[in-house]
Amino acid sequence: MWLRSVFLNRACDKGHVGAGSESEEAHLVERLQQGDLKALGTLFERYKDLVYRTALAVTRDERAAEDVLQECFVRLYTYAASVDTERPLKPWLYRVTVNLSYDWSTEKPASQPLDDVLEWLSGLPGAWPSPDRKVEDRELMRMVREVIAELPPLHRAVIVLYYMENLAVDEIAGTLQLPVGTVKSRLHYARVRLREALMRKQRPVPEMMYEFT
Amino acid sequence: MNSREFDDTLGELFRQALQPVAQAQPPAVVWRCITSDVQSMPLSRWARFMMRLRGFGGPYLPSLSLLTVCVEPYGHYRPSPFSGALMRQGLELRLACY
Repeated sequence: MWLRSVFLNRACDKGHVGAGSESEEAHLVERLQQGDLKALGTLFERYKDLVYRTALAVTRDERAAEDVLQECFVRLYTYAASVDTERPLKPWLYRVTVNLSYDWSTEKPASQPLDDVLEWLSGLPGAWPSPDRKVEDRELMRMVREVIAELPPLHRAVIVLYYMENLAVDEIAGTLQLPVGTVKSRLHYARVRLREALMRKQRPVPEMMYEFT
Repeated sequence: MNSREFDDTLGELFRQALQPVAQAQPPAVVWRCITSDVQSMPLSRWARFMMRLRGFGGPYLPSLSLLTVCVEPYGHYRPSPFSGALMRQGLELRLACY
């Protein structure tokens, strides 16, 4: 058991990081289907950031994102036989990640107040690219994050895949098994929500009316 | 600014807002948890054999569980419509293996 553990850790450490060819990935999945744990380590190193970040953006909870990452790769190992080696693995991972994140969000919808989420986002490294960023910019970013946080989880997933993961609309539709029109309408809905929020912010304060009698 | 340009501007705001999440990295402990989970799966090979037997998207009996689920292509799960029959069959086969 100890030797196996050492082997597993080395398998992860030596995992080839970076984008591999599709044939190389298919070979890795085939090895995984034979129970090769080194292949799992290589795939984990390659895709852990993608899964973690997607889960983090949808759930907005670091612990939940860690759990989703763990469960996603345990499922990859357990159900490797059902993975089609002739298709890229990325859409499978995105889909399982979004499904797991959605399950978590629906089970614990009110576990995290919105203010806590926004405070957590502001504390992440890179939250404010420029240290001397203006107060108005900070307020703007806060407002955009508020709009994202208020979206339903599956709408948020589309926004995350499109704007953060840079997937095309048809790729998102294929990954989430949604019609292209639905993906487009969710993107449109999110933009409308943001536009409305911007307009609310810029609405002038009505001037005080004085009555001279 | 036309409608498309305005949409691009809104999209850029979404990108900037998601930037901190896009830079986040998972802690190393997750891999250890995965290996721990994987090591505690004594019947995983048997489960994979069952899945091959049933074909792509077929019913699958999870290891050490009395519940069956259907594993569909690309990661969807749903309760198996043949739960009762498969459960009995799976238990009989497992007992035979022991």
